[in-house]
Amino acid sequence: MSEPAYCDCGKMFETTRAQAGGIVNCPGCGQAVDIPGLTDPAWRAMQFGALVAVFAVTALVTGYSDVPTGAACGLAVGVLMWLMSRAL
Amino acid sequence: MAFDLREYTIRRKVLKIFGASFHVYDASGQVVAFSSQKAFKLREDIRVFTDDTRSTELMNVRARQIVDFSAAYDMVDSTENTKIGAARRKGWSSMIRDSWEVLDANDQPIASLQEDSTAMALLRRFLVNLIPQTFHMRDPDGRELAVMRVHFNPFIYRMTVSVSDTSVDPRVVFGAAVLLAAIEGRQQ
Repeated sequence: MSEPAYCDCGKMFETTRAQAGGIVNCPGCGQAVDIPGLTDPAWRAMQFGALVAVFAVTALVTGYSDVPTGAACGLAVGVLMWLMSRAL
Repeated sequence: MAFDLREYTIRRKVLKIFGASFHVYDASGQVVAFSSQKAFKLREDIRVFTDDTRSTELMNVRARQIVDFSAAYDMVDSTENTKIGAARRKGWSSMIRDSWEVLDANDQPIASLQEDSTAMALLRRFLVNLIPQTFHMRDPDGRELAVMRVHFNPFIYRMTVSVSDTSVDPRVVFGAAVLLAAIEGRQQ
């Protein structure tokens, strides 16, 4: 599987999956180009884990009675982490 | 220039709360480079400067992924802004004996970097972590290119790098040594 990468010199070239998130020299000008990262599975797992943890803790603290609050908190943390992952 | 040296010592800076910093000394004890690992970064990001004023950056070593079992680290010569090589940790092998693959700018293997022996590696992991590590960098034919020897000191991490063959870009050897000090040195 190959992904396109773009250099500031205007050259477009293909990169491999293993190069995702790394640095490759542009075949045109030879300068280092940052390759966009693929969705990091470990990062996704961390997001999911945090979501479940917040949900579980909130449900415990509220004595299992206020599940919507736990769900809302979990959702908020999930959205926050997704936004952070986009910014990285 | 730090990269041209045949022998240098990497010493971890003590009393550093966040991240890690290293001074690189030549054989006469002069500081030839300063390396700093950024704190609070999800992806490992190590910078090498000419000195601790951090005014001139020489090299950047950066992880490709945030968390990766067989993590790969790209090395960029900051003065030329070109990738000079990479190092990839062999995840499964490193559980028993630290093993790395050293790659060229096109990600082709040019050397291996391995802890001295399996027996010593097991001893360090399961009995006592005070036995200092030694890493050998060898080309695919088994010819030794460099030796990275950690000194016995439970308080300060210090590693001496001896380059015996310059057929591999000395900047890559330097980058690999700094990476080892930052990544493997954390285990101490």
